[in-house]
Amino acid sequence: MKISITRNNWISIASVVIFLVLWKLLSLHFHSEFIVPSPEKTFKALCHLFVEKGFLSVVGTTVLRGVIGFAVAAIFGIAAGIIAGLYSGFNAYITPILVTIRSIPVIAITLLALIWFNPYSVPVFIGILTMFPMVCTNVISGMNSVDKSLVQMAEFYKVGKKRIIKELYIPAIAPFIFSGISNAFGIGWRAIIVGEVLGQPKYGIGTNMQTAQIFLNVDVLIAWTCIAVLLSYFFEILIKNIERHALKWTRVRS
Amino acid sequence: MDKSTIMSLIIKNLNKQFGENIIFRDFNISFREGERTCILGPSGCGKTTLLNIIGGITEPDSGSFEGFEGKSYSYVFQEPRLLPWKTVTGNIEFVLSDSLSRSERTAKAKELIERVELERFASYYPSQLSGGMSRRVAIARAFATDSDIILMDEPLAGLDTELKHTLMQWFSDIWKRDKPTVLFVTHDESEAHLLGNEIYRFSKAPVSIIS
Repeated sequence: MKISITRNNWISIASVVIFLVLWKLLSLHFHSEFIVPSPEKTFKALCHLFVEKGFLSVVGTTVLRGVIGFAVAAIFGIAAGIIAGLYSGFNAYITPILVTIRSIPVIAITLLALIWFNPYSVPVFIGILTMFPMVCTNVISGMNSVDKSLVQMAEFYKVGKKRIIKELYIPAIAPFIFSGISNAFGIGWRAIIVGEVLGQPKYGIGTNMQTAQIFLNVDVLIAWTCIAVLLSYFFEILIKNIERHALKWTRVRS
Repeated sequence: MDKSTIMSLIIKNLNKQFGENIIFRDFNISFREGERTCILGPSGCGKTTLLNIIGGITEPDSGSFEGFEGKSYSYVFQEPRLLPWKTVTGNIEFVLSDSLSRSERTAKAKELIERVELERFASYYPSQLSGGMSRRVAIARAFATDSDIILMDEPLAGLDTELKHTLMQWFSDIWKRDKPTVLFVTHDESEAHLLGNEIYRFSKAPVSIIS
């Protein structure tokens, strides 16, 4: 199989190389592992993490929190968004709630959650509160953009409400749902890790980041950050693939 | 009894206005069942409003309707209004009753697709169809529900003359099978003469029948 590298691929590769060079220069400048460890030392720390006992428990628990938080936020966000799109009264009711939740700083939610919940639930709760308004707002925008003439056609032919929602509204708003999910997941991971840093559950990437920070293991802290970035990247690709499969009709052309 | 001999769909004293714009004032009209009636008139005279009132999309201000009770309707809109995420088969299945099983729906859709000669395109999405094909799917969808009355609002507008003639011939052929009542709105004289058994010519609003 022939792999072709485009000009933009080369630019992306150059961007990563320049970043690594700058990092190396900074580490040489500070000459202290406690301030800026070198890229190679960080890479070693990253490799060490992968083989460390309990690595899978730590990453698996954070992923589980992310997935639970995302699932709850997506289910309620999509349902509330559809209802708000169908009934203007509910839209008027939920809009100030969404604006308020979006405006509250994550740290304020975290501090309150620490009082209300146990450390294991705090990251999930924060994840839900961060992701829910993003998904819901996108779904409401999608509902407002649905072609009303299609709805009129469906109602004229007396298609049942359930089928109109399932076969007309949901496919019509699917691009908005995926966009909301993608944005929400990106922000949600960060919120969940902040929740773990402050909540200190037994397992969690955030917990390990906090421990590394306390002991000034900056290389380990950056290594965990890399793992968080890789996880986020993995889920973004996963969502994009699901989106591509679900919205294949948008790509067919005569 | 030949149902085409009966003027059984009667509208009396129809009134409708949008704001200050009076469309119908004590307007009377009747249609024969089982016939193709064309309503001809200038743009904006109220032809579509009449179809929408008959189809229940628009509420009249007042008026009495005889013979419309218990009738089922299909509507071929000016634009095909196909769901872009559903295939040709899916679009036809979409309007079929929930009381039909999945296999019955598929069989019915298949039969209609054969009638409109789009078998090769059954799994195509609307974006893969030409304008004429999309209109044929929309017409097939109108026949899918076995309606008593088919309302058609300039379904051939914007198509070239040759394609119009082909579609009209094809429509006449599939209409002959069940002979539903067709109310066909157009502002194109040639379409009206080719498709209609009866033609009403409307004036500008407030509407009156010129001939």
